[in-house]
Amino acid sequence: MVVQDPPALSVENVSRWYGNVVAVNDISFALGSGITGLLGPNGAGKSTLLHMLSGLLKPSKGEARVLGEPAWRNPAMYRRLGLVPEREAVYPFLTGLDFVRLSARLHGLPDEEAASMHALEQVELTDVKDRKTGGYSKGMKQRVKIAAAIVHKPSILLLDEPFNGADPRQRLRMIEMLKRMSEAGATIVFSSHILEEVERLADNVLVIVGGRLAASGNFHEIRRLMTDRPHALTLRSSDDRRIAAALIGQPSIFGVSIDDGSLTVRTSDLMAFAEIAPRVARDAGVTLFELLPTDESLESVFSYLVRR
Amino acid sequence: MTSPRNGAAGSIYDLGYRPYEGERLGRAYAVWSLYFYSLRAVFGLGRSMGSKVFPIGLTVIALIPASIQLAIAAIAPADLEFIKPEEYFSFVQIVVVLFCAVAAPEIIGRDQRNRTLPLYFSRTISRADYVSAKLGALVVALFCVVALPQVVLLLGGSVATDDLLGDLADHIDRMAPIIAGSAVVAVFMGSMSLAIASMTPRRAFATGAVLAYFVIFSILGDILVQTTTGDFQQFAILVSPVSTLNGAVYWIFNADLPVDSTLSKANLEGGLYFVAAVGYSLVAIGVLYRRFLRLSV
Amino acid sequence: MIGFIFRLTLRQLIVRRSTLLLVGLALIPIVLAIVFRFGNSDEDPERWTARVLYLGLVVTAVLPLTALLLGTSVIGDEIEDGTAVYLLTKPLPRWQILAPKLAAAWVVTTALVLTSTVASGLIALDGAGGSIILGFSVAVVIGALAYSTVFVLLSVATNRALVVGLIYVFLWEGAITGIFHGTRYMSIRHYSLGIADWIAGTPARTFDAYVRGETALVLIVVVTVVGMLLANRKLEEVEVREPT
Repeated sequence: MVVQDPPALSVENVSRWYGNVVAVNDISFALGSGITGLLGPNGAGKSTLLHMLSGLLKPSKGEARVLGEPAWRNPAMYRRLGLVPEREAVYPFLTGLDFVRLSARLHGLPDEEAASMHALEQVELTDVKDRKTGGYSKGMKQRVKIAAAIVHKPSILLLDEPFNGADPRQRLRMIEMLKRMSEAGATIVFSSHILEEVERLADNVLVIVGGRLAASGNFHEIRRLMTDRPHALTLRSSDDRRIAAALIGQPSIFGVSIDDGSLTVRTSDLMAFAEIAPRVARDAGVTLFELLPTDESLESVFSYLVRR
Repeated sequence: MTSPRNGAAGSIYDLGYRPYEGERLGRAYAVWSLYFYSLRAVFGLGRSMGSKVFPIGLTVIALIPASIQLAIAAIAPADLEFIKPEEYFSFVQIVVVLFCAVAAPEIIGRDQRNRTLPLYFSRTISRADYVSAKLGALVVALFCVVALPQVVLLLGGSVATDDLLGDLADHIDRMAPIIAGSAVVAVFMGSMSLAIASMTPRRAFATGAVLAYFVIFSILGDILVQTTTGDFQQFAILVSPVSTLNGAVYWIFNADLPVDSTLSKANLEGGLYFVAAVGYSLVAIGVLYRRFLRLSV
Repeated sequence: MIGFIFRLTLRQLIVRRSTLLLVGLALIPIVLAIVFRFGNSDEDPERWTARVLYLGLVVTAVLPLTALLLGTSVIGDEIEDGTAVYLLTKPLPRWQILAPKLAAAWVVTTALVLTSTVASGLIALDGAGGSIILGFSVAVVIGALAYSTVFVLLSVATNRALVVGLIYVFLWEGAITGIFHGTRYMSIRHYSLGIADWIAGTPARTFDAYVRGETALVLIVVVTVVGMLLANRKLEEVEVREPT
């Protein structure tokens, strides 16, 4: 992630509480162009964070900034920022085209018609543009909201649970669209509790758990940094038992187990294991066929962080 | 979350789900339960303090005139009747209206708001049962609120005298009209406010609608009586729900109307008030049933 | 921009089912006026119109209820269902959102209640008594602005605006100002009555406005201006909360 100066989005020791409940607890980060995924379970504070970044909520402490300026009480910043809210509601009596044109008009765009049509094309709603949004399906409503949010070509786009209700094909198209935008230099932040989507789309991940920032960065990197949890690998070799016996003697190995004809090795240090495995195999006279990390997915990273 | 095993087949483990084989208590019990819990909900029992404030507070306020009368009776030796029994309702009518405006949306709106109606309708109780239970709960609650102060007044008045049993025997003939009057009030106001409140799931709207109906139509009825003459004037009073009920109560107590009131101006045959009250109630009940029977959830 | 939001809000208001109810409400005085005119009441028409129709029904019930329903819905509904976000996340100063919405609420309220007032007055007074109709018409227009402002302010300040508004109309302006006369200085209803009295010049026997003419006008202007400023301030700081 390339973070400009001033950063496109930044929060500094930001907290938000409602009476006794702390929704966001002392979070700081800075984001630049590219796609960032806000990942966390429901109620973790992702929406609250997005609302503070989009100027709809005042932080109880700290500051949320957009392009260096405070997001709160700053309507002018909406020229460069678009928000796709989570709630479904749209004006049901307006057609899709009218709804996007409303957005274009309120942004003061000189050519509303063209801008609206362009936005609708990007979300593939041109064939239903003249239908009232009250009659749209959930996925269509989602897309028309996105169209309204990008009609003014913002350099920053915030999406709150954007893939809710989208079928796999629409999701794919949305992912493609967001990737295109980010390659053109936009800063995109989306929240999700669906790990698969974040894994597929985000270059950069912010994991929010219980209002706190539990991890940030590339998820493989995060995984690597969690040294106190054993990595698990699957080994296929010419003689599983023999290499298992040889490996268990090594200090960096927590355990080995054999089930269903494959060998699972648990090690605390992936790098160390990568060095010793060939040597141990050669000394034991065993041929290694395959080495597969079994829990590199975001899912295992996430569940580990949630339990912490 | 199981870690993926190469080549492992999936299994489903029997964690002990077993279908229920025991006794089932049947539809009557289900309806009774719904009624009972709705009744509790009217008074906010089993809920937070906030939902108790209004109903219980209003019930207490409804008792105030009775308390004052009893206090006077305890102090003053003579048989002073400051509030005549037939008048009691007209003293507390605003309290009862407020009670309805708060209670009706509470029991009929919640299920529509939270979209839990399908849960009810897919059980043994029928839609008509649902309406009956809710209606029963509000009517019984209102009956208690209206009858309680009057009964307290009746008994308390006798307790305050030297000859408890004798005084009670003298006045016991009031018990029947008290019950009958309270029943008419409860059925009328319960059914009307439920019918109005069921039109919208939003609580504030429903409360406002119930209030608006009672207030506006009472004003309207009174204006019409003052403004018209002849036959029309007589029947115009029935536009006002409050006056209709007042008239019915007076008729049940077989008492004289207060001088110079809208009721005496209208000069309508007493029994007709009762008939009108019953008529309104039936229409409201009909509307209520029809709405829920036809509601698509 | 302002005109655009104004027209959009008008559309939203007219489409709603509850606006239909308000039309019904506005018809009640007209129906009553017809009944009065063609009945054989021996009441003095001017006295009846001023006291019973205008004071008793229009200013007491029809005007505040209409303003309440419309005022709380122009911004309140959108905040409640989440569509307010689309207006708030635009590079517009908040007053440019507030002003047209308030104007729309005021215009529709006035359209309904003023029509009702004028029509019912003409019917009841058989074309005569112009000063009473004029006095109350002006009162209704100004009162509608004050009420709309207050109710819009309520709907931005709290999410229980409708209930608070109902308590204000029925309890405060209804019961409490009836019992504790001093509170009439803090009641929009009584300001409106004062203005009506002042303009209509009705003799004191017809009805008794507690708050006198110029005072009423000043107070109502103060309430309206302060209300607008507060509403703007509140809208600038309105927070949108979501379930998760």
